[in-house]
Amino acid sequence: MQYVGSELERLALIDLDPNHADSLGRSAFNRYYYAAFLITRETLGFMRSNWKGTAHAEIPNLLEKGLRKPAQAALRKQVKSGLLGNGDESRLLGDLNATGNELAQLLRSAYDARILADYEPEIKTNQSGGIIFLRSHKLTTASKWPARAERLCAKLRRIWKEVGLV
Amino acid sequence: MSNSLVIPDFDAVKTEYFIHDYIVRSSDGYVVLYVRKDKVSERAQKGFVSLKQLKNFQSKLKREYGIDSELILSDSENLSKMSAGIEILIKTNFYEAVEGVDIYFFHSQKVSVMIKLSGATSLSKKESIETFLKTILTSAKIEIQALQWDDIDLPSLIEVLTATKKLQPVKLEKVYACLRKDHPLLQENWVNKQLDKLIKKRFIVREKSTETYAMTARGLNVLPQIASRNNSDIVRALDLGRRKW
Repeated sequence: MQYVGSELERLALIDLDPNHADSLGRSAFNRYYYAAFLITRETLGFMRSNWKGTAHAEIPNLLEKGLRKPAQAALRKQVKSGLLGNGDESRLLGDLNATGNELAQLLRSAYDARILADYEPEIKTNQSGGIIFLRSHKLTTASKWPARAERLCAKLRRIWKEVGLV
Repeated sequence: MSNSLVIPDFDAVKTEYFIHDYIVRSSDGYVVLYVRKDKVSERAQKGFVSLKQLKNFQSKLKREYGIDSELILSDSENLSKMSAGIEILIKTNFYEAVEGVDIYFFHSQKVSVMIKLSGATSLSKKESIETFLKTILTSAKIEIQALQWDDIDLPSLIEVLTATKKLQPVKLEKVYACLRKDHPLLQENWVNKQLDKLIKKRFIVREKSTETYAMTARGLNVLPQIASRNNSDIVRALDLGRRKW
């Protein structure tokens, strides 16, 4: 998916026909979004099977508000029984919040770019200094979404395992 | 649908809330408000808009105009430069220990930091790095939401307990072999110490004659009950089935 995105980006930058360049550029935004989305969906399914089917627009809310509750319940039990200290609990919850919030910000922005790319054809892409823009979204930033999502998802998996929820 | 927003004095509102761009999405009717992160603060103050003020504005849009909105905090070049500068400072001061620093700004006053270490690093060195980082960020009124270390990945106590439950009664070597699949740099001696800790806390017991470890009721109770095939009861039952056949 990311490869397709980067090929579309390359083609968009060299195509002299503005309509073709626009179509290629907005498709690249779409592919980069889906690469990040699929990594996240897989991770959410790993963390809890019924989270895998979460709707696109709802995923940032789940990442910001939904992860804490099950983690906190498991950690409280571990602190109460003496397995972990309060410091461990607060570190793990802090890491979980920060990672979930960062991924939520990424996906919220990426989803917006993808909606503009797919459903708002009157908003054209434009090029400046070898960078393709769709309103304020940059394709160079979009190209980093999949790797960043992958890194954040790896962190979420690690925290979830550390809490004992997988 | 028109791409413009019909709100009285919207230009003044845009200035007040530092909205640098907005769009009405024809696909779902949502108004998307774009605000640069370097203009957003934790609490209301001059020259910034707080997250709470933006949330209140979104509620007002819904309440008074029936408009659903989405807030996008856009990346800012200023904050990217600040991240790069802080990374250089840390890498210069702790060149022997730090391989990389990833600073993510949620907004102008809150960050998450991940520090990649070059190898095994003492606790005191980590504390020095943390103090240095806090000194820089505090002077710039920036709060660290989370500081994470990318170093040797070791299993948590709950993972050691889960492996013990799956394989019990189990010898040290088998617990080590099981955990090593997910933690390749793990050492047997480290696992032995963790098992000793769990004995002291009465989560497991060690049978001297067979040199095997087994769970106590207290240990079984602390493991989270999860609804998935990774549930420790299911994993245990499958493992017993495999051993039998």
